[in-house]
Amino acid sequence: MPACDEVKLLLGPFDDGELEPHEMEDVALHVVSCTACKAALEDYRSLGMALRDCSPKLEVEGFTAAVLKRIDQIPRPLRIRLRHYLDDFAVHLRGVVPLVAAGALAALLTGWFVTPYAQRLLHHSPNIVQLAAGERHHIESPQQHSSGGGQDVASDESESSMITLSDDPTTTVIWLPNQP
Amino acid sequence: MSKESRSALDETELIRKAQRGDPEAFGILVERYQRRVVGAALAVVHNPDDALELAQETFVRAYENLRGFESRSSFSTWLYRIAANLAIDWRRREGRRSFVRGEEAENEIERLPSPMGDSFAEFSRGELNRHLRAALDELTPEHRAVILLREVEGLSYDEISDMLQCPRGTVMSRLHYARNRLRTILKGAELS
Repeated sequence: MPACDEVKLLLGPFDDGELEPHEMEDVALHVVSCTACKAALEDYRSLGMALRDCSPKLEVEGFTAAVLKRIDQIPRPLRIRLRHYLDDFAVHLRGVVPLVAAGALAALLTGWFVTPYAQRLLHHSPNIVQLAAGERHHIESPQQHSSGGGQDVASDESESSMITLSDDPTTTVIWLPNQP
Repeated sequence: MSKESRSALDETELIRKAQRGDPEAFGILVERYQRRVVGAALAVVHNPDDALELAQETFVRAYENLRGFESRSSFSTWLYRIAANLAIDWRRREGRRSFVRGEEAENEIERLPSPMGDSFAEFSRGELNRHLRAALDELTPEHRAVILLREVEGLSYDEISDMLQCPRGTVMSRLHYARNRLRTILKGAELS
């Protein structure tokens, strides 16, 4: 069994549970039979409790806010600022994209199903090329209709030099019917 | 963010977010560790105002150097180390007290009176506190820090060793000295 002098050095660590298992056992056995070491151990324990009791408990209310305020004043590196900007942008984008998509869809559906022009387009008009062809067809002479038309305007030009068509919008087209 | 969801957040995730510059995540870490850091700072500087200032500076430094934290040690140990470094700087800067070097003070163990009376539990609570504060003031900052970190903050010997950057053996001897010194002072006060 270790002597008192040796054990006294180990009493604190024994109480703190910081000794090796075999040392813990040795000290425990010694303390049971030694009044002085037992008293010292009790004093250490009382001292610990008294220290905890008399230690001031600091109020930390507002501590985090004060730290964050100081952190906020630190100039942030460009890398961090850029990342924040992109993160913010992504967050806003995440909120706006579905909204814009929904709005666009609503506008499309409204345009398609509700407006009269769209309905007319949908139900009555063939397509723009056909419309153009129709206009050109009207320009043809009535005779061409009677002679069984269906021919291309270019071929009409070859047959009748009196009809002139031009793609130039500034040109006025004059139709002169064949004179008897 | 609610208190429950804040506490449920994983520390590693919080640190990662804070490393990316998220102040809110860092705020949660501050809330988690503020009491421990303030307590440890108080153990070292032994003055409430200075302790709060030191703890605040600890967190600011931690935020600035967070990218260098690699999870080799626990976050609390890392914070304690920053606090300890700041405390050393603080003591140098303040130069308020001249104190015996730790090693010299440890030699005083030999000069401690050995016969101890009964336990000083019979002291009245208020009187004991008053004597204890006076006794703590008589200790060197190193000894006071070690005993307060152990007894009040509940740090292990390894944590104290990490924080004060001294060997574990030194922690043990300082603690032994501080306990005996306080015990002696209190016995003297009790007898007088």
